[in-house]
Amino acid sequence: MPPDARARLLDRQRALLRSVLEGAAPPQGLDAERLKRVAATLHDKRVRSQCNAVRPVQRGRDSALHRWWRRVFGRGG
Amino acid sequence: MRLPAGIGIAWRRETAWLIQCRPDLVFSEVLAENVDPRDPPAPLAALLERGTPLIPHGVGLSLGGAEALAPARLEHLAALAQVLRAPFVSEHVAFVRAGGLDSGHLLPVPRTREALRVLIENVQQAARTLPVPLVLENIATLFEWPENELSEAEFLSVLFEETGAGWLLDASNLYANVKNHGWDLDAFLERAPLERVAYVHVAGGSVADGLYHDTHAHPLGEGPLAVLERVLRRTGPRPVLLERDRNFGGRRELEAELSAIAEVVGHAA
Repeated sequence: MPPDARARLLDRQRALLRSVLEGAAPPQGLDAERLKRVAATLHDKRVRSQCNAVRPVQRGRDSALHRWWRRVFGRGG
Repeated sequence: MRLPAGIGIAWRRETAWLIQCRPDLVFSEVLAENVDPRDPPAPLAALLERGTPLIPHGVGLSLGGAEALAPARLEHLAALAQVLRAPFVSEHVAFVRAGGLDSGHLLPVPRTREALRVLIENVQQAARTLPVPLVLENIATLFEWPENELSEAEFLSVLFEETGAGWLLDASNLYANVKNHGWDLDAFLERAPLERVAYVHVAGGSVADGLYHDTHAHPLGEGPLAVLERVLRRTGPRPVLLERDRNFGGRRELEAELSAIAEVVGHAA
């Protein structure tokens, strides 16, 4: 694979990410409105990922799920 | 190793109880990035003792990315596959990061011959590192690259032919692309390399502002289920996994969805 191919692909992918993550102009040929929808979806998913990362602590250890978990497996959850 | 035809549900902390109570589920799948191979959650060990196959499912390799694969991510997947004694590992036909930016989610690869060569090289590199075969999932996309040269079916056919990878056919992602991009489902299925299907995903989604989103957070609708039925009519029975990541509902709701999937798998026999 010629290095140019990876370089060209990297340019397109980086331009897309700059558009949907940083609000830069869309890569050539892509619709700005559609990319705004992509950006909104990515934002939602990133927020949810952050919530999921701390979820076991935030939800507490006394939920029905955690009680079941401790009863069956004895630890964690 | 091939998985037996049947049904499963993705392993999450919220679904662990259901999987534990349902020895008839033929397999499950764990989000690879959420499991530490040095200290896997206790219920996974219980499932392994029971003989339930567990598939590590990665979302962060960025196999379709222009940059080199991250060795640490590959090593994590490999270690998890060994700890879980997995028959294979699954990932996505997608890119996640480029040029120091990380989307945190799966984005489509341009379906050009040039991008396909890059993807094939990356998949081949991953396959050399992983101790088990690699299975690749088609993704749902909210946009299509204007430079696309190949149809999705053509793109996947070359990818699987040249890498030897299996196909994790996501019926809900396919439904989303049919709805959002006007793909012809029958034409896709006619040309797609269905003989490579190792297992199938299905999940619920919702429509927002005229676009279908594969949310994994809504009840399984008739649309994805109909696509599943049309896929299995052509492939015959396959292992089918229900994905749910949020809004799990109660046991009755999940059991009803599993029953609906089981019925479709049964009809394909």
